Amino acid sequence: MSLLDVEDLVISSAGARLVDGIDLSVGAGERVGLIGESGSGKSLTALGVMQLLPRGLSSTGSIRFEDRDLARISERARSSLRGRRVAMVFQEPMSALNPLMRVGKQIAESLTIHKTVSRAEAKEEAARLLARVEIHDPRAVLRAYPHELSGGQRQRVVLAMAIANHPVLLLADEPTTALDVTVQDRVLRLLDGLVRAEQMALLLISHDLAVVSGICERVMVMYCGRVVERAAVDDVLAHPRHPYTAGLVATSASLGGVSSAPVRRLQPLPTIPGTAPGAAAASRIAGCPFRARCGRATPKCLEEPRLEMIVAGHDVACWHPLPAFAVPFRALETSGGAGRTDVALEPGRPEPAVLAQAATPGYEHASPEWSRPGGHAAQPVSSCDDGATRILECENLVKLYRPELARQGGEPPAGLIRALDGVDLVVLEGDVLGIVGESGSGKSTLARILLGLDRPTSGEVRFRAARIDGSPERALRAMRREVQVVFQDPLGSLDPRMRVRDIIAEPLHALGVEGDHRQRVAELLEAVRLSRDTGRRYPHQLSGGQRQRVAIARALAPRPKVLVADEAVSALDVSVRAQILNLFAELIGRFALTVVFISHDIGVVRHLCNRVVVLYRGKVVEEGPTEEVLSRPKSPYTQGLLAAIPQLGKQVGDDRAPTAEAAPASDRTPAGGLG
Amino acid sequence: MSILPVRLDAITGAEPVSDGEITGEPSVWHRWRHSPSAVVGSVISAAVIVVAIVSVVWTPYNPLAINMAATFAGPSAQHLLGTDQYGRDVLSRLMSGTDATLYAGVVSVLGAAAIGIPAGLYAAQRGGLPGQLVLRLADLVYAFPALLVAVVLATDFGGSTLTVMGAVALAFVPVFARVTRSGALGVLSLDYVSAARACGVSRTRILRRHVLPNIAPLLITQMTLLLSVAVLADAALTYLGLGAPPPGASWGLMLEEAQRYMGTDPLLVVWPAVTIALCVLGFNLLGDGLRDVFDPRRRDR
Repeated sequence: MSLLDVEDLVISSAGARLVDGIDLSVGAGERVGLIGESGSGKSLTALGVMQLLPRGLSSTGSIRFEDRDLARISERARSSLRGRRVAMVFQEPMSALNPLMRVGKQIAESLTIHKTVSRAEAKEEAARLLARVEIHDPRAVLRAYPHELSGGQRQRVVLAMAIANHPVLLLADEPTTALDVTVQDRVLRLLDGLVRAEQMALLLISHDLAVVSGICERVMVMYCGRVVERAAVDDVLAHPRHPYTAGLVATSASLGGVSSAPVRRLQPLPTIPGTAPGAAAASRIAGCPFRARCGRATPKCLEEPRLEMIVAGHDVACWHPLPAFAVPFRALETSGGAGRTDVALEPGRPEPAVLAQAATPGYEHASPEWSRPGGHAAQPVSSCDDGATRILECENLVKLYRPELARQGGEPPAGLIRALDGVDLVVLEGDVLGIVGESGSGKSTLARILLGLDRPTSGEVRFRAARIDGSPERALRAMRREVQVVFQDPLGSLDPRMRVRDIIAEPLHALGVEGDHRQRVAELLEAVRLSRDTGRRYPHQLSGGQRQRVAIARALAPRPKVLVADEAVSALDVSVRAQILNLFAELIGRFALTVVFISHDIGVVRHLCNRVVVLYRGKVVEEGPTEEVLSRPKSPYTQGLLAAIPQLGKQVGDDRAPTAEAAPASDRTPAGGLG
Repeated sequence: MSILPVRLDAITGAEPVSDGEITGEPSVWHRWRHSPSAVVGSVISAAVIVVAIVSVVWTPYNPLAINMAATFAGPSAQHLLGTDQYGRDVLSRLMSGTDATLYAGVVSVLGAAAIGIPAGLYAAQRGGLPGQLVLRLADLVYAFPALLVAVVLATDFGGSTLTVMGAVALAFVPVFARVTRSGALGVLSLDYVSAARACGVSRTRILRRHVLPNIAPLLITQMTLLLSVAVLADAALTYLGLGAPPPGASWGLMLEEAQRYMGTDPLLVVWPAVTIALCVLGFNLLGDGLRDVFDPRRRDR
């Protein structure tokens, strides 16, 4: 008898079945992961289990927890279970805490509400709990307000409240997604330790396969409100049987950050073609919801597959599961010199020759700038300009913000915040320069200054040897034509009231580019692999990946030399991220772009960039050729950053080298595969 | 040979799911139908507008025609709402007053918008000292009572519809400036404005192309709400004798004249009062409804 037994849970809204009949069981002390992309229904499932669905959503099915059906008992009875027997941790700790209440009082409240301790004892107990979640100065934190804490501290406080009454089951919905990678690592270690020590059962919900594989024993993969695969973590990583899971594993493995093996830069990544239909649209699809993106689909797939056991402990909902011995990430590798990876294409579109070229070995050196002699030597950037032209550079850049203008939290309110603190940077023609840093490192500020959108407090920015900092807008026009930008949030960077074709044509009008604009827009849509009729649509009618393609098309419109990409793939789902990275890689080669790629994601930078700069608190702490910096980091900060990246199949806190089987990224053979 | 990707549409015979299946929130029309304020508000407002238009070409009687033989007639088949102290048809006068009131309201709101919106955009775009200057000026105007302005204008130029419109418009200018500025500041901080700037789009073009269309719902809502205030203000100022002089048919004037006979013929007060209330309610509901329709998050709270 499991601790939690969910049977046929259906969550629907206005006729659409957002969660479509899932079964789920968590045994006492068991750690189960729930994997899914946005819109897969994974968070709704957790809310459904807790019976905390937002208004307008209703659920059916049985939710047996400790021999009681949560869906049938009274709200009063449920309340007495929530927080005492089942606790929940959400993604955003700031909104999970009351901003007007001191931390100590909030923790005490979660203790006294179930009357597990007396009011007098509560304060003592709160301090103990804070120590338990490894907060160094519990007394000070007890008196603090949530906004005075860092993101990691806040999530620790939320965890302390969750474990306050020793629940037997903890539901954690993306508990570390909002945190920086180094903080994420520490919070995950803590979560892992707590769950083990308290012998709690854990249902960990995440989009990140690596995070789940670091903590959980079993994993369930959700797609379009259905569970498509369910098995032990190691089984899923080594032998995924559902084509969707296989694609997810392959994509995660190829971008999985650090490995000792050399990464073949700009090689096409394995992807899952297309995008997941929205939750409401998915509920109208008869049969297997993945069929439209699946290479193994047959007419049989018009019937809905049931989740069935194919070997002991491994359930799959697929008519044509992959054979157990297939190693999917190998299968997706380039097979030999003439082969090519199945790069994500818009379905049914002819593949242009340039893409095949992108996949051939040696392509990486097709552009002479990248193979220039001496360019990859470990020397200060400022002196490695032999041969190549300096296209964009800055010197001793300082940017100060008044604290009230800066975001809440972090720095103490006294004095000015130094977003940038003496940054020197040189971008050579043909560079793909990665700028890596966590939040607060100043990387986005740097991007805005390089683009001439913000002015530095002091220091110089030069574009082709001409000063651009502080120049009037008119003087920047020449630069605007050559330097373009792609932002993180594809929806936010597109005007919701403009059609796609007008968005893409905007720089053409603004910069007075001659020629047939309609023709150019069609070319650009083609280049980013969007169908022609996408031009008529509005941004909200597109998926996240399609929106980012539009943003890229707009950036390419005036035929720029330099592209600045600020976290351009961070807001995208894993499978879509790989598609967009492949597009970037292709466009870099096709249009000979110089790229400044800003990201917190080392795996992405490693894949794309030839040179990398590591920013920490507004200072450059390390720079050099990507391979060198990432495989032999010199600065302790970079070392810590690299160690913190969650990896597939690597246990949290397990610092030994990942084994070949469990961490596929480390044994990728260039010409391997099943082909 | 690979095991994954490459879609087989031909085999599955299924419709592609990816492109375009992802639709945004429910349409504006859908939200409209599900907002009671929007439905009721638009019905009342439409009725008011229709009456105003009809009254220009046709009223049951001449609203100014005096008939001393039939004063203080109660509601009847000839005079649906009865007649007043001079035997004038009340329904005709109300209808004709609708036209005058609506005209005054629309002109004063549009006039205020014509000054306030550019001022707000300027303040948002410029920031710094010039922006602050515009804001403080708006505060100054806001702090000056509209009634006082109307009295001053009426003293100098005599009471007229123009006096009312001028006073009301002046009172609305700072409202538009403030609403526009805060809306524009929000839009200006978004990535698509940054992207436009990085494309070399000029400041005025950003305001015209990106900011204005995106705050238009906000401004339309504001205009509708202010229209109801303008109707009320018009009635009040005319009642005080600062607006259109007698014998013109206007709601405020009718109210003022009727109050002398409240003891003997209370219905004469009721008709214009109900009309004013209904009209104000209509525009107010419409404004609230538009807010619901344009910003669905608000309604869920």
